[in-house]
Amino acid sequence: MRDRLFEVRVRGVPRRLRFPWRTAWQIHREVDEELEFHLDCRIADLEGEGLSREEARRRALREFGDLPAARRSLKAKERHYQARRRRQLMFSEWLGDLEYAWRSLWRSPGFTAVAVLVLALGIGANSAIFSLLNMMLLRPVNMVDPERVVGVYSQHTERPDTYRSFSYPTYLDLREQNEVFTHLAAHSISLAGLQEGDTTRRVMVNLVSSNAFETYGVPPVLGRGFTPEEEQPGAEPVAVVSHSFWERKGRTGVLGSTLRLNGLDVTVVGVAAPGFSGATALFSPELWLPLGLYESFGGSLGQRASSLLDRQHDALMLFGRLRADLEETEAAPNLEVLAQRFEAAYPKALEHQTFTIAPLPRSSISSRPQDDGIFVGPSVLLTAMAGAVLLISCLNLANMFLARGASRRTELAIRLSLGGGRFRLLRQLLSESLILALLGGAGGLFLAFLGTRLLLPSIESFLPFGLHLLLDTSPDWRVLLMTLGFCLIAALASGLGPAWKLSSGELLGDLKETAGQSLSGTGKHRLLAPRNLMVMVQIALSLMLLSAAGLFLRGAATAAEADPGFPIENSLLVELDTGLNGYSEDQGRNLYGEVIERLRALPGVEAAGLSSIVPFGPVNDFLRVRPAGDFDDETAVRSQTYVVGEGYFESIGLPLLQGRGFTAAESTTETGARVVIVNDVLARQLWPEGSAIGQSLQVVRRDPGPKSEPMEIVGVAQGFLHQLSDQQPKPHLFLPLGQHFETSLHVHLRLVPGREGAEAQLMPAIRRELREIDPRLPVLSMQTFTNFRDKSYLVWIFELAAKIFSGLGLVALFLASVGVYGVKAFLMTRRTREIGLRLALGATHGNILRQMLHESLATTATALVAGLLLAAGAVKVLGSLIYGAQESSLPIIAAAAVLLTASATLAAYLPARRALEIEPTQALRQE
Amino acid sequence: MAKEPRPLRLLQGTVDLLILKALTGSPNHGYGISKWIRERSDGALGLEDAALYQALHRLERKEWIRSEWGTSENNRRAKFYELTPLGRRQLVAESSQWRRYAEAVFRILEMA
Repeated sequence: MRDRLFEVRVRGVPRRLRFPWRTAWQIHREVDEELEFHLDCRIADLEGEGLSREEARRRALREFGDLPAARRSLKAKERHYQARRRRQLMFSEWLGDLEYAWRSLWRSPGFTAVAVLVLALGIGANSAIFSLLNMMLLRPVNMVDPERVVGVYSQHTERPDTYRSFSYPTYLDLREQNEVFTHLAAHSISLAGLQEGDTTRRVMVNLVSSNAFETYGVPPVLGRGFTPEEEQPGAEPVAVVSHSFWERKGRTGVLGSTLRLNGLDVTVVGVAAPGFSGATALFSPELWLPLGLYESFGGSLGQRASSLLDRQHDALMLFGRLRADLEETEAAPNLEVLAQRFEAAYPKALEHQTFTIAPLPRSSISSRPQDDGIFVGPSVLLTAMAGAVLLISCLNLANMFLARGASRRTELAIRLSLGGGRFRLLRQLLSESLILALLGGAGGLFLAFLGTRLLLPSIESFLPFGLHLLLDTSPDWRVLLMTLGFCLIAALASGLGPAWKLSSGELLGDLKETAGQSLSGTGKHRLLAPRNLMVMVQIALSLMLLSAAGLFLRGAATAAEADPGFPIENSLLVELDTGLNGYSEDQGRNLYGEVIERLRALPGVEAAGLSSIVPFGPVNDFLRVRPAGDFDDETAVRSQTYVVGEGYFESIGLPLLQGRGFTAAESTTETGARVVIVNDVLARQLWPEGSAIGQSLQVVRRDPGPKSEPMEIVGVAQGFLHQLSDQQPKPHLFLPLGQHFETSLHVHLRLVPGREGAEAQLMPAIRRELREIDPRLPVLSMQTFTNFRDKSYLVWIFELAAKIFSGLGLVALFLASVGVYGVKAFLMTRRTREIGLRLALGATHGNILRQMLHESLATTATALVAGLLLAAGAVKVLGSLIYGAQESSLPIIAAAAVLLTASATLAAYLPARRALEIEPTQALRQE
Repeated sequence: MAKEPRPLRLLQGTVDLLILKALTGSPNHGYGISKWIRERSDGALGLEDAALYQALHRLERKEWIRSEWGTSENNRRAKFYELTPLGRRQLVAESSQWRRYAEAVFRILEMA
């Protein structure tokens, strides 16, 4: 092995180049001297031929050519050459270092394998988290120059946080009169029923203006986009399908085919580009329809669509492509001027409106400017947690380096004393950590890819309304670059400290020492020795990560057990939408009447009722209400609005506190007295004193009309939770279905209690009834309410977070255990002599084992105290995200601490056990 | 006195070949090489000394020749150049190529 040292040192480098460097000054002097010698000789020769000294000098200079230029050029070229050679040599030396490092690692496969695994886990965790963020936030949106495409918003001048959509006439005026956009497009998101064989599936559709595809800069790959004529009401129904839709339908024969959509025949005229998602980066509609079909498809979620041509009907969201020569800020004045002009022309429709622009968010579609800020907190959190895992693996590896360095200090000392210099040795040792980090990075990339692929189904499992998620898990250059960055960080973080220490020359003395003596100091010294400190930091960080994982697991469990405030057992939920078949309102009303009547008559059903929205569901519907006659908008209360039918409160199992529910007439007919039901929360807020029954309230609306007529309160319901994250019931408003008909409704069914498996038995019967009523009526979903809750957003997000954090926590636990094991195993081999001696002096195995474990427990306990502080910090941060985190944190941290102590003790026990197997005589003879 | 013929301009690469040839015998310094070429060509080759030194340094960087400081005939410190094995091989290759080239050009000129 020592021969190798020399071999490598001189490999590939000619001997005369060992100190080949000439300084700039040397070069300067040598060139001058060489040229001076030449001229002097020539002058002397010419003088010898009989020329005068002056003449000889002139002649010599003439023969030479341009002397100053030659001088300059010779010097410059030489300097340049020297610099290049120096770089080459450094590089070849470094290659030699790498080669040597590689061979040295190859000779200790055990060390290398563990080190690569440790790094792969640390780097992999970070690559995986970064891949997720990259997929969500960084991958470019599939459009031309996406940064030039901005959202256009209509803002209230006096209430700047109030925005609204645009009407089609306003959009047209803006499109024609603006001077800032090359294209200005309008769109509206909606859901439609797509008939596929016998069933109707609900799909997300995007109604767009005819120039939408040009605005994105991504024309359909097959067929065409929409014509201006198709933007007008009454045009032939046509559609562009998404690329994935086209692939699912078997590619051929899709273009030109007819789709049955909301009972209407729609011809497919185009196929969108692959990966094109239009309005948002993350979700893609399945179909694009021209705005001309607005009256058949617009008005999302079953609410009736008014006429597109009505200037009062704000239905559209706008986005435009800025002119290439304009900055975003330069566009604002023009839009403001237009807004003032429009307001003057249409004071009623556009009062107090101004137009603003803002970047389009990747994750949402809204009539108000939004950013992806909701991702920032979780991103920072995830990155920090993954960073902690990387830190653990680096500390782990640093310890391994120290142990390895100690066991090959003879080699290192020789290298140092042979005059390689500290820098050279440092570079050599860092080469080893670089190689390990790169190998670990390759493994990490693989683990990250595997991890994200495993997570993807969990991410996709929550998607309301059949949305399609566009996530590309394949690693791109950003992931590769970041992983390389993680490798370099890991190489330096794990290698620099040990390399510095090992190359310091302190080890020279070790040549003479025997192993063991320098390492077995007093107990206290051992506890705070660097390698012990590093283990403690690992344990402390692991405690934090495990606690965070525990909090999320607890959060997921809490969310999954959440109780809306009414009995959710014995409850079934059926989702229907008569609008998806293109039924008229009257047809819809009749159909729902029949559905309720027949389902209520089914044996085992106790009560049935209709409702527009469902607790824990993805939809919120807010109205602002105030006591009738009170014109102070400030007293208005924002209320979650349910449109419900007769028998609704019985069907959710909550009797009314006061008054009555809606009558059959109120839930079917449009005429009659205007009535409303409030929950106790809203009642208390509007009428803090006295009963709400008999009082009237009004909806706050811009345009006074029938919808803001006073409504009399006929009942007060008990509050329940609409969202899982709500801690208290919020104000709820219940409107009678008859006066506020919607086509998309949920049927709540309450079953007779006490029958095992009644839900499962009932479902086929319900399906049969519905088919008999109308074979074409799509059953969008049918499930128990418990099941519905388990699939809700909050449960999903907590389960996803719990998966990610448990993954990180387990990796941390594993790494910390490996760290403890490694250090203990190393120390035990150093202490075999001590153990042997004590055994020989009569100590029992038990005595020694106890002492060893005692030492290990001291380390762990010290680390856990530090870890508690970190974990408490994590609880503080997560407490704002997880409901009840503060309350449940103590048992979770305690459990994590117990888990860590057990793992660390086991990791310490195994090497101690092995050390004790040695015969005392053999141990003593070892040195 | 008859007017001296205008010195010939040297083709690219020729200087290198001449330097290598000049060094076949023994190591020499730049002035020695310059003198050697002037004497052999009776001054017919218009080789500026500036170009000669550029070529010398270039060849040294290519490792066809190497240099060492020594003492000249007149007892001064001078930089001596000598052929490396690589330079020797190069000389053989280049001169045979040069000869073939020259012969070909000659043949064409005589045919005309």
